[in-house]
Amino acid sequence: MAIQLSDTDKIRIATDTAESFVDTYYNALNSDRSTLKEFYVPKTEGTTPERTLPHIAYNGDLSHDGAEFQRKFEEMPYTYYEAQSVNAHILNPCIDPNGGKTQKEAERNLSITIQISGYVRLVERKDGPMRGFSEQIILVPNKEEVGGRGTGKTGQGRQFLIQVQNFRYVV
Amino acid sequence: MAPSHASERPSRRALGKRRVADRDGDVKMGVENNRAGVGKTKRPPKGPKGALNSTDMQRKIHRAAAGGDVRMKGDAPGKSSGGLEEFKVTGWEKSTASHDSDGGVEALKRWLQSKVSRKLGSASRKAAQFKKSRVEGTALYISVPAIDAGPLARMNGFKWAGITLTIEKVGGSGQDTKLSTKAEETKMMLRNVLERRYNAQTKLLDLSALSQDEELKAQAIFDSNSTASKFFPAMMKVLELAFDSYDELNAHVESVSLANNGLADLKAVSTLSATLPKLHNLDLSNNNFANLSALSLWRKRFLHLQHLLIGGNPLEQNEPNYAAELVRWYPNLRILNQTQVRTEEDIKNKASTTNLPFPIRSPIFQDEGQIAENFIRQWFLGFDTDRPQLAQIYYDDQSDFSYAVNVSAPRDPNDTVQTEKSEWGAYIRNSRNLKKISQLPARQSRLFRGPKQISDMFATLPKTKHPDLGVEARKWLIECHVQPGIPDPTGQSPNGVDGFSIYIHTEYEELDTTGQLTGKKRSCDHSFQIGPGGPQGVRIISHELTIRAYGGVQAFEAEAPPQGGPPSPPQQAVDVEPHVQAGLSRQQAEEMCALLSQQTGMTLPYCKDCLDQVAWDAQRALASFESVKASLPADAFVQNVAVA
Repeated sequence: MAIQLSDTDKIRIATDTAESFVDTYYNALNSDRSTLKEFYVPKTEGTTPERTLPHIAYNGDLSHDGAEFQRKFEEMPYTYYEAQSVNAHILNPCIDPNGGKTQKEAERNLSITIQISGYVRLVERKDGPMRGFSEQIILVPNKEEVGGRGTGKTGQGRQFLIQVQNFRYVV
Repeated sequence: MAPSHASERPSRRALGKRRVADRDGDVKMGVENNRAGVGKTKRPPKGPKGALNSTDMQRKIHRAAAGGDVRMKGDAPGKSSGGLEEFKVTGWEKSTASHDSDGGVEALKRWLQSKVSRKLGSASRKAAQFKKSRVEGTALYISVPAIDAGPLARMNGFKWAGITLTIEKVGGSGQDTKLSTKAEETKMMLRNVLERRYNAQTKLLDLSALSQDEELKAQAIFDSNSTASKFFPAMMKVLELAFDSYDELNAHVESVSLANNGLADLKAVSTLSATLPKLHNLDLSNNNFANLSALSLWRKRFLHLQHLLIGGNPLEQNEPNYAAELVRWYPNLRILNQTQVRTEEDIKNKASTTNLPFPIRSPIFQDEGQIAENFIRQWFLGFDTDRPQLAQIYYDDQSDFSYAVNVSAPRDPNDTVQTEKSEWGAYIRNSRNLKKISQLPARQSRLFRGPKQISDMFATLPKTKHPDLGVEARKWLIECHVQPGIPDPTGQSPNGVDGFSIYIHTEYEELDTTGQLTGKKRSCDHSFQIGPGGPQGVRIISHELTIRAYGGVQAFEAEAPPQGGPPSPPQQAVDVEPHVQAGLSRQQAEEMCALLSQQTGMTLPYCKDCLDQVAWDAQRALASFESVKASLPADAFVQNVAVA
């Protein structure tokens, strides 16, 4: 039977994970694009095409593969993303009913939804066009063992991966 | 205001027209002269560069620039009661208006009022009113507030209806109001210069050919470089003091001409960009700028600049690319030296991202059975009209809601939504922006769970009116897709159920407690995660909301066609084989299948499928095979055939 996390634990995990995710992910968009694909869950076909994951909707452009998204994003000129506002909730506190047997496992058996609002400076520092954006990310635990798909630099895999992403310029 | 002075021309057209003598006391401020000189900039003889070496003058200017505490909006109040100062106007009885029934008194008063009202810095105020006036013999006595006393006093000697008026301050010495210090004298002189050179209708401040200005010449302002350099900052200071606020100043001075000043760089006049940062039109023509670096002090200043005149400067010859460079310096520049460099459309599309990857495409809305659509309609209707009921219908004990305010979000580029003090007063108390709320207890207390908490929370937010989803569809951007792994409260599906993720970007207007629009508009981003359940068949699991300053709707309009090009026409004639559509005979098709089978080892049926998918293009079929071969099942391959 899975351990029930306390509300405090859940809020701590959701918000801490969201903050560190936002930092590393926007940094990757800005200056470490070759690592972008590592942020996404592996591609899995769904029972209908719409259910294929990951679901990466970027200004109405849909990708179902982190590597494909990375290829597209590597075409972008200079970008500087700044998250001005971040909020996060637990979406599903217990993804695998047979998992989460220990506190540590339970903390990795949940999904998190993150809402970000900010701006992105495009093309050139300071003088490039600026757009406001809104982004929603759903993170799920990385099922592959830690280190399995490591980032190389740290030797550690990511604990949470992007299952769903919805990005939009809103200003 | 006398109709003959009215000018319908936009202010920018007044630029580049040289004003002719304006020292004749005629308060028409050169409007008629401008009219005669449309589009023609005569190049007057260059004056001596710099002028004025009197150390006395230098000192005076220094003090003027420093003495911001001295009142300049009118003369120091004299011996007057109730803040009014009395003036005696004589000479008018012989005017051509003297045949009016009242001897022309009313006409004279109207004229004086209009003149005083048009003075620098009072353009925004109501027309001056002469609170008290009386006629004693040939003298008209009028009382004006201190603020209008200066302008009125300076009209002594003006011509009206064919005669010259004498205007004297009663109990004082008329125009020669006693000034306490030389600094004030200098200020008064500078203010005179500014007033002569300001046109309230065109909002033009003409500071061209300053060294030819008789009044400045008389003060020997330009006899030396060092004094000249103090003069301009002092004049800007006086200009600022003439207006109640920076906003007023910038609203009433849209155009400045610095033409014909022999300027080699901008050092002497650099303070203009601090005093009038929102200038629309600037004339720098006929100076002595040798290159662009001579203008570098104003690089990236004047962000609102629309029209720049720079002709008649050596840089035109020295810097072949000067125009392109200046266009880069001033993001809103439309006209450079009478040439259009940007259209209004260009300005509008400035933030366009059409040419980048990820241009704005139409929304991805993957609903099933109108579940998401119906939910969206009901939710926003409920939020605007009956929040307690809404909370009961869609939120249950496991539903989480919180919102974050992004107080520094970019604002609508096409609008000038005013922000106020404590702009976010009603919202900030429960805002859960994790960038600002770092303590766990605060994060916990700003997360609302269950219908009761959420309903109480909703009650603290201002009443809202969202745009109509049908009529004002352009104010909405809605995306939605199937979301797996939604928790199932019934416990029947421990692995979770399919729900929807819904992302909505829109705006709303705030209402006051009586239901009246307050005029305040916000933008907002909603993220709903919904699953099956609840009285309407839909329950909210998680609802996150960002509220931000109004950001406009320009980002909701697609810049590019939907992904994969425009929607293809529906497949017709489904019974026509793809190879026939590709123009191949059955025999040719069989040959291609056989060839592909040899190359890939795939069975003939798989080869046919593969070729069907790529419109019978052999090259693409091979490429397609390479990309999928790892995931093909074993029965896709001919047994015991070695793959080439």
